Amino acid sequence: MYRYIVKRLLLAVPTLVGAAALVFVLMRLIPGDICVIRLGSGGAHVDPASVEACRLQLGLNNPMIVQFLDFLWSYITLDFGTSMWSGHPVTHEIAARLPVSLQIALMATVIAILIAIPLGTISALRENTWLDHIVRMVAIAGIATPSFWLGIMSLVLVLDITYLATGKPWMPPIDYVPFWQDPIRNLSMVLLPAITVGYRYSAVTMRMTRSAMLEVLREDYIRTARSKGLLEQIIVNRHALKNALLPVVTLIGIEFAFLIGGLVVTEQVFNLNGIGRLFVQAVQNQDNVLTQALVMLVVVIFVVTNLVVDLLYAWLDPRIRFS
Amino acid sequence: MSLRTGLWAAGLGLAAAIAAGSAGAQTPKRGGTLTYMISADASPSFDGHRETTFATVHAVAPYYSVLIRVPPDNPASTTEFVCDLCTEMPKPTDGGKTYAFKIRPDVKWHDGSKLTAKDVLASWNKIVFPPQGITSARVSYYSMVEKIEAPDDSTVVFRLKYPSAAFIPALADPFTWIYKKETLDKDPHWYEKNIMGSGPFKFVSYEIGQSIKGVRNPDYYHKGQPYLDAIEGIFAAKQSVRVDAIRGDRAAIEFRGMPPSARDELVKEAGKEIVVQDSDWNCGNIITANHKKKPFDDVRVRRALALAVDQWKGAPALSKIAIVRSVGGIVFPGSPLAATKEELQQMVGYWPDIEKARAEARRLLKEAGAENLKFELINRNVDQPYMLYSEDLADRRVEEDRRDRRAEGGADRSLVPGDARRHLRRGGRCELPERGQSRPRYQQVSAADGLSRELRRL
Repeated sequence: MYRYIVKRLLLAVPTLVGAAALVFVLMRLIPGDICVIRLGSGGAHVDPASVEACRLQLGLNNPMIVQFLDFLWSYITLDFGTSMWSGHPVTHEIAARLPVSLQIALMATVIAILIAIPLGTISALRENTWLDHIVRMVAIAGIATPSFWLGIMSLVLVLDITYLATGKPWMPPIDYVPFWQDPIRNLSMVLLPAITVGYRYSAVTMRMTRSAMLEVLREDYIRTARSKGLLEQIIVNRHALKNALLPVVTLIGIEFAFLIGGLVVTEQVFNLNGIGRLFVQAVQNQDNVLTQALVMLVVVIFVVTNLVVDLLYAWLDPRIRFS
Repeated sequence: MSLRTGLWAAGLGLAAAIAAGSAGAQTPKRGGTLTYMISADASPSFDGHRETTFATVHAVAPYYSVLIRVPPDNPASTTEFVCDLCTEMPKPTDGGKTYAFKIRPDVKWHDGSKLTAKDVLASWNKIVFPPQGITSARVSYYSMVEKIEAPDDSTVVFRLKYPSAAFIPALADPFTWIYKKETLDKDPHWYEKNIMGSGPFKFVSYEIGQSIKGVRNPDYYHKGQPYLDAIEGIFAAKQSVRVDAIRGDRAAIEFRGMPPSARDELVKEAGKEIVVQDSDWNCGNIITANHKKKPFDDVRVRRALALAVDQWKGAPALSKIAIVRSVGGIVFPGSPLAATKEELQQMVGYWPDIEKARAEARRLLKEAGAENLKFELINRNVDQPYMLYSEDLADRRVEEDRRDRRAEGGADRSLVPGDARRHLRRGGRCELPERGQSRPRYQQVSAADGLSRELRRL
């Protein structure tokens, strides 16, 4: 298995280089100049000499190929550079935002798994009953409802309910505190966004669980198990669910990786200082160094998540061997 | 062709604060922590000399001193200036060309060392005559300054090239923070990433892009101040977050302003607990044309643009949804130096008869050979007041189209205003319908620099 992991990690290298080249080129296709934006975004007079000095300092006057090789070399030497916008090391910029994004992604994933797998399974087992219809309705509503709208509504609801109940509206904190510093404050801030994101996430997963379970439940080996008189619980848990989980695990992995950088609007609704918001700011500010680092971070998360998903396959289906 | 517009805004609008008591004069209470909202993303640096956004002032100004300022207890005044670091406002000598400021002897930096005129000199030299590689956003404000000197540790002298009434107001700019000479000498970029001043609050911490915290400076030279023990500024670019935060008591105030609907909602809910300070905003309704490009190199085209804007009907209409209200010129309305309404109405762009103004605009465009002028107006993608302004513009254009269709007895196929509104809210680009066209054409714009685009036919 170790050889398989090493092989997969080595295969990730061309993926990373490809992503690096793509983001490098795309960022330079956007019209505008970070030096002009940084120095004159508020309408100030910008001295051309200052712009030139800024461009020199950021290495923007170097030939494109030199800039690209510098970028690759800096990553090989684990020097991720400094943000062109703030001047802070990109590791600091990302480290300040990653915990909140990671925590919400993890909590949303847990919420999604806890909701989706039992309900998706029940829905498949009780196909076309009222229970199935209700579960499907909940799932479709979850897919159709944008997370940010749900977020706004949940905030308004919390404010209104607490106002009606206590005469004083309450809302979750708007500045992030790590869990180990103040667990209650931390959870009261991230719970609502995790639930709103987790609901949509669970809806997609629920649909996948249901359809995968329906397919597996119609397989010959399930019929054989039933004909042998096995308990329904054993058939469902050991034979059906484990096999049906293969596509579900893939979906969970992809969604989890997406959540790290993809919660742009939800982060704005709850004023979360996360990776998604940083991503938008970096692109808006034409901060190439930070955008490249963020894209690489997301690519690494996708690669690692996919690897974990592939390793889980073997546990779920022993016929799969790493070779 | 593109134009960058702005409703350039600075000043206080409808600032709301959760507080006990009425809005009238009160005896200040001592103690407590003020949590306030900063209605923008964090600026790239802490350096007030370099930055231009109000977010820098809201976040960092409490940690610094300035030489002179607008009276804190009468911030709307346009003619009064008082000392912060100086002992008294100087009388100009040398035919209005020399101003000598005496610096207070009791000012300490937050590191405990003494602030002297040398620090004031170094800071002002950085602002007015920035060395190579250093950006100062306001160099042009001080074009009248010839030289700045500090003959001793307690005197700073500004020598001007010519007498200028703009000098003292420019000196009171709230971004002109005083930095420590010793630190600037070691690293002129130090203040971009660090904070160490002599102001009413001492810097405690900064959570990147999220919040900034400070505590009371016990050695502050204005004795008895500040009243608060601590402050915390939280960055929130979204207006809904700021309103909810005040509503949910997560923050006590925001200093920029909110639209009437949000204000009314807060007042309705918080009742006597909320204090609303209502004043005019300093909003520059500026359309900046690239005068080096055709057809904007022709003064008649630029004049036509100014004539086409209906200031007198626009302001009261917008005041229902946004924080714009009074029509003014360059000088703040209400100031003794401001143009009167009658004077304004003589100026191009302020004519009271909009039909006459637009007829003149069309005539000028025809004369300039730009009769079918089409251009792209680029607006800032910020709720208040920028987006609301362009939404209103889009709505009015669509309404005109509907009205024309009704008058012509044709089918009303144009979009309802909300469509344009929703689209613009998404930062989209809208080519408004020419009269007679069925509907606006939309296209989505990439994130680019956060500006929304609106294409409009005059």
